[in-house]
Amino acid sequence: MIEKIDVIGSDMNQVIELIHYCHDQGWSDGLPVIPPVEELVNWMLTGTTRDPGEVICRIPPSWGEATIRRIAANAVMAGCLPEYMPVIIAALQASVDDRFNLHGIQCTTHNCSPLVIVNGAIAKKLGMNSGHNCFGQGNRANASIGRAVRLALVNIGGARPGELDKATQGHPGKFTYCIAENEEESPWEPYHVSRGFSPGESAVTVFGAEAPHNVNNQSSENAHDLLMTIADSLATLGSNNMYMMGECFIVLCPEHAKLIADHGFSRRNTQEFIFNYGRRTIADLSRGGVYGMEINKNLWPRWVDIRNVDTLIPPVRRPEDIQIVVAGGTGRHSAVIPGWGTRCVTKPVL
Amino acid sequence: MPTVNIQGLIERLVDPTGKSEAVERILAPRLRDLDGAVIGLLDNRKGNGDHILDGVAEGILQYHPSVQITRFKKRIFSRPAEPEVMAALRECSAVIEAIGD
Repeated sequence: MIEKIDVIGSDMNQVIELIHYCHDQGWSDGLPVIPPVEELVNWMLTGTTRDPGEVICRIPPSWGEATIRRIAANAVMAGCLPEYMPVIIAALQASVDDRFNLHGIQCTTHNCSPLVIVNGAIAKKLGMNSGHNCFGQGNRANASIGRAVRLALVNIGGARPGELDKATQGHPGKFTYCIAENEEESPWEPYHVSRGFSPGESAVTVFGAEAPHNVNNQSSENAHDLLMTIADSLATLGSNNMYMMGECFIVLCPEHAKLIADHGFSRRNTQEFIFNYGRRTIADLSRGGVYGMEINKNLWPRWVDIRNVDTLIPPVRRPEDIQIVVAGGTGRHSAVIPGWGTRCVTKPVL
Repeated sequence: MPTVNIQGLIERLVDPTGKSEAVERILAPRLRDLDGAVIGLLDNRKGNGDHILDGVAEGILQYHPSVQITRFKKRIFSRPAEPEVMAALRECSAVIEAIGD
């Protein structure tokens, strides 16, 4: 039940005018925002015990100060409920970790945006979608948390399209890109537990991610065949991973995850398979891709013999750099999500 | 759309931006002449930046043979230069960085 908020002005025409005003100020992602009037921002602040003036971080490229109050204003605009605030704050804290390289992700020509993955009890409490159409529309928490993170990064950090955000094409996840892990249907421990958190904790992971690339496999009856499809989908000439390494995400649908686990594969085994079979030869990679013949060889693992064009190059430096998450509903579609050459970061929801 | 006065409401909006912290940056003083100058050339490490800087070095030395050219490379182009590279760049009279994407 949402409490009634008394906002000055009850004239619908005024509300519409305010929405136009927010567009004119450049505060919107293009869709209508809820005008961040003081009363609504104060209501949003009831979702956190933090001081409204506390600076959580500074956001590049303009290095604006992300105060709790400003974050709340962006959360209002995105359509959030107050109880979403701790997740948004954790996502922003994770985004400014050096391993994430937010400055680059905000400004690059590459088509990437922070993917937000929520684990633990908070996801259930907020009614987040980890099942059918989890990357799509239809769930308030997924949609508005992801949107609030993006609005905060753009508004506070100053990364507007065509100005300091130089993305050649961008991707739809730049509006919102947030899911919860389907922990109930995962055959393995929850993703955040694999990253050192306890099952009782809630955590948010962010990753500088391309859009999800579908892996359609309806036919495989064993883990090796299925994982070969997934590995092949990752190792492409157009993928940043083959050149920049960093990390990538594999988001397995529950049916795929079950098939893999039923054949005795742990999360680690799955990572090892993809690391070993999701490869292309140097000869292949030299035909095209990011740099063609001028491949940035020093980013590859040290063991790579660059003199031998038959050497198989993995998509990341180590198996553990392949992040495995389970999400989605019924059906046999998984997703590979190449990265931008940087790392994901997980922070607790406090 | 009807014209509605929303001035009073605008004043009650919480600014969601970080504009207030934006710092105006001014250009470093330009060199008056290049005689005896130490010019740092920083290769961003993306493709072709080194080729551009080869040409820049050649051009400078052709017209200003007394210039001392020092070359640097960033390790990873998407990250700030390493502290030791930044420290060395500060010793230069001027720095030219190139990216040749």
